[in-house]
Amino acid sequence: MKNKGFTILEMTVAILIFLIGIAVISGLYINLVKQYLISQNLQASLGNVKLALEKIWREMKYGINFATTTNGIKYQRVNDCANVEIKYDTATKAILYNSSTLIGPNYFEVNNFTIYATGSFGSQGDYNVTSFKLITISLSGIAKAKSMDIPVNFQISVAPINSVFASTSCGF
Amino acid sequence: MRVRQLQLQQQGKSLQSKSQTILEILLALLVFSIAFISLVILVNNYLKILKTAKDIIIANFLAQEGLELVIAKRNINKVQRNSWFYDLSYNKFCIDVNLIPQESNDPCQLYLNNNNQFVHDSSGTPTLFSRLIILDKSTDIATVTSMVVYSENQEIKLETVITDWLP
Repeated sequence: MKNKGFTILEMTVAILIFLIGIAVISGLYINLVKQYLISQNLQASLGNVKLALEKIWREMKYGINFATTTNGIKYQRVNDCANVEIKYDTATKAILYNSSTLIGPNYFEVNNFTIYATGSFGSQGDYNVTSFKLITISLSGIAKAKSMDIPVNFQISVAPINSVFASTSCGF
Repeated sequence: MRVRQLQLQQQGKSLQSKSQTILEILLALLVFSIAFISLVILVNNYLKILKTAKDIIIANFLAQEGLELVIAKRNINKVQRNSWFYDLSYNKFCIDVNLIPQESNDPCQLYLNNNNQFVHDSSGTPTLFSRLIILDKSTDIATVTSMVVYSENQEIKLETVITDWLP
């Protein structure tokens, strides 16, 4: 009598527990994969925006002949004299670098783009008095990460090196 | 006869090692669940860390901005033929894109204004970030430290040296 097998009741309870366990674990696993994908996307999105802003900052730091435009700013790159315009495209919610997308709505949707330029002061001597001494770019938008959208505000400011000299030319 | 006895003894032994009880199965499931749940918590924390990474990126840009504001101020002073420290007499101060320094010993909170600019004007929306500029001056050289404090007393400090000459 001691060596009997499982009864049908025991088997049913065991299978039930197993099924509940599987259901819970598969739910957790789906959540895990989802979270992982969100993390990956968020990382890529933030990395791309950071890289783009650092590129703009670096070019403006050494750039010359700044001028504000509609929804943007233009300048000359000092190393190759190329004209650059950084512009917000309201239709596609993207930041354009000479008409090509620098910060795109696929990973970051730009909702607000403000350029603030200041510093045309004085009227004296050898100094460049008309160039902007401080340029600030404020960027607010949504980092796209699968089902999760994270609002982010970035701001970079740059005091261009060549903004004080009266006779700075590009191409040196 | 002896062989038969041995066989019976072996059978008896093997019959003693019975199968798992329901309690054991539950215990095994529990252990497995704990391991799995801790994995889920780990990934959730990864997401939290990434959100902190977002704050670190913003704080770094704001700290860099602090240095640029002082450099811009120095450049404007030079162009206007003022002393290079004109209007920058304080050792510790707060300054935003409006370039008006305000003396302070503690970091001043940054707010988002209507144009989504980070400024010290308290009429905007408060942010996680506060900033303080520390200026250590001598006659023709100064060390500028820009300190940004963000959530839970995390801070980022950037430092540069500016001179009484350009750039």
